[in-house]
Amino acid sequence: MSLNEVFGQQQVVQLLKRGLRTGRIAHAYCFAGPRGVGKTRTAQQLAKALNCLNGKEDACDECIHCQRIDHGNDPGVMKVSPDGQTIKIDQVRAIQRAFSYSPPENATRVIMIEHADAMTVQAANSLLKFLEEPTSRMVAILITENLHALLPTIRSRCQLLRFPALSPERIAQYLKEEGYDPETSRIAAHLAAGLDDARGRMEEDEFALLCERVIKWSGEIASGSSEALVSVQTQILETGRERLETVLDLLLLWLRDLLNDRLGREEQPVFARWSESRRRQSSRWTIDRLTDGMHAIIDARRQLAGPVQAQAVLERMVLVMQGGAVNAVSRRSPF
Amino acid sequence: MKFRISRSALVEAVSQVSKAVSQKTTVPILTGVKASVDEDGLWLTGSNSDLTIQVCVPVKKDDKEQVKVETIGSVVLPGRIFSDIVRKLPGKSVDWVVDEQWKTILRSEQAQFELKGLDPEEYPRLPQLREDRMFSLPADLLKSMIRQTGFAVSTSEARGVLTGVLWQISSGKLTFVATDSHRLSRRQADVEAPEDLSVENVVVPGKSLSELGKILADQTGWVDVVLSENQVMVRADNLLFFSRLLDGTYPDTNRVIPNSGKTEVLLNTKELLQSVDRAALISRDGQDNVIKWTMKGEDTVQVHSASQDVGSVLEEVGAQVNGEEMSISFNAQFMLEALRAVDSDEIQIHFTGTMTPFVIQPADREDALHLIVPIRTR
Repeated sequence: MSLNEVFGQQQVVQLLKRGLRTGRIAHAYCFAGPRGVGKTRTAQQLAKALNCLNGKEDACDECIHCQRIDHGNDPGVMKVSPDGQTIKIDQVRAIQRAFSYSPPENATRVIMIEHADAMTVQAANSLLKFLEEPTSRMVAILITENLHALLPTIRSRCQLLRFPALSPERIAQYLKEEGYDPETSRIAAHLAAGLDDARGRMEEDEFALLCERVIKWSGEIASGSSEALVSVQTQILETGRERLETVLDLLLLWLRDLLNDRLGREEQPVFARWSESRRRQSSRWTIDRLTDGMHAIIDARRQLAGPVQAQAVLERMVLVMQGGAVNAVSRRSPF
Repeated sequence: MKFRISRSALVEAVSQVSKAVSQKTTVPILTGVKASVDEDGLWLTGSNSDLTIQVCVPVKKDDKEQVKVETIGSVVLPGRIFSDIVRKLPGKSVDWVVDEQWKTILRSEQAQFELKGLDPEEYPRLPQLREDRMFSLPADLLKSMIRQTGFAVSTSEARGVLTGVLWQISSGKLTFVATDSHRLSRRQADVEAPEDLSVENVVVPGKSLSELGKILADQTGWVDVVLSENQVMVRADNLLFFSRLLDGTYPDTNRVIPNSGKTEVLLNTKELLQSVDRAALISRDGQDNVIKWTMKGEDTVQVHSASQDVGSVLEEVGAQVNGEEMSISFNAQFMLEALRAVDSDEIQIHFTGTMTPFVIQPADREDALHLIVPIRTR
């Protein structure tokens, strides 16, 4: 793979290629953007392009340098990622130690720091001088999902490249070209931040089944029956704690479809396959209750991140959604 | 690739290159040993990217055939396991066959190992050094130069070039300088070098040098040293040693070496070493290992050391003292290391003042020098 083949980041790639062509590559970059949009991949390709024997503005993918970097066998390309929760000062020192040796001729050494925001303050501070005054030809690439968690002193030493989130339509399109089921792809694309993430979801078993379950549950909530509470226990919690967030995201997307339907918008629904359920369920909601319901879901989603029992959060959410606006006053959650 | 090799020669070569192979590297291929065989014999390479050792097992040694080559080729084998296997093989010779997928079969008498090899193309290339910046010296001399300076390098990684030994050459004289900014050691020697070869700022990492010292341990004869912008190569019999150089400019050390002294002391090395060693017993648990010397009259040096918790020691060493009386405090450990590195029965010490560095030299030679910065005491 090469820079040209990085999916959906034309702007960033153009910028880097222009830099490579004119020889004006910064000594430190900060790649910032949500998960799964291709930051690490772009960094890897940049490292290859910088050291490639054949191509100047892109990696040829065939020469020995490109191959070595691809297989992680190039001592000049170093990758650092958090050791446990954080990137420790010793890891940063180890890089600097490697850089006290003079470089091989005609090589540009590349350091990639993944999750750069996880650097401890000490680690980040020990990196400052190194970033500012490179002793030899090098490019540092700091990769982060959370730009503002980086120390401002680090941030100001890097050229910032933002990786925008990919639009769900493009991801869905791409997945379709890869041969996945187009309707499910659309849902996965809306849930995921990037192509890899979406592809991962498509490859999960029972993704379509999960959608089915959520829609059925939503029907129960809409009908106001206490079945919905039972389903929390029997259907939803069974999917596993780590998938609850996906469940809530799906529910939110579904409610958005319902809202679009009620408002009579022309927008293409995310859940295309379930038009029958959509028609049936949307007739049971009012616009106000839908928006309140969506609020409740977002609240629950946030609470799940905290140290709370999932069942309690979900049951409360169902009650709020069924009780309508009256109970939703307690939206100012205690968390 | 297919050949047969004598096991003892292979064991020997593998144990040499294994010294360079590190298990804790982030680069997977460097945990391996590269083997390539051609008409000259078998070449084994081990590297941790900072230093690289290459050993050749020649086809013939003393008219005895060691390697019988059928087809040439190369492969990278996992280092640790490969060296263990080779050591434990039963037979006198090893048949070695590698297929296109780098699957390697090692056969020796009844035992047959199948190892998964790696692509040798992925192994870092050794730099091609031009031989124009080259000099030669006896291996023994190089070893003793390393021993006499290597101990003085800084052990703190943050000190950059001070973790290495500076190599300089001008008009056929090779100089090694090492310092950690509290003490300095310098050794000079005449080597066989082209007249016009002049090298100013080559800094070889201390770690590489201590490794080199070990590898040269059983080498006699001469070695060639080739310098390039970023590498140094030492060539001995059937062995190549590469080390990367440290980046940066070594500070000018000539300015800190005093030319003349106020007080000069001539002492017997062994007596002094023992007395300092004794004095250090009291102070070694303290902070800086401080001992104090007082030059009294013309024939004694008083060695004193005290520690609040332990007690004190006082001892007199016979010496020839020339110049002012003075007392000076310094780190006994530095003195011990310097005295152990001096290969001379008598030494000369030049003092320039209580607060300024002093110089230890062999009494009969000019080529070695150790400088120690004193400690300020109350």
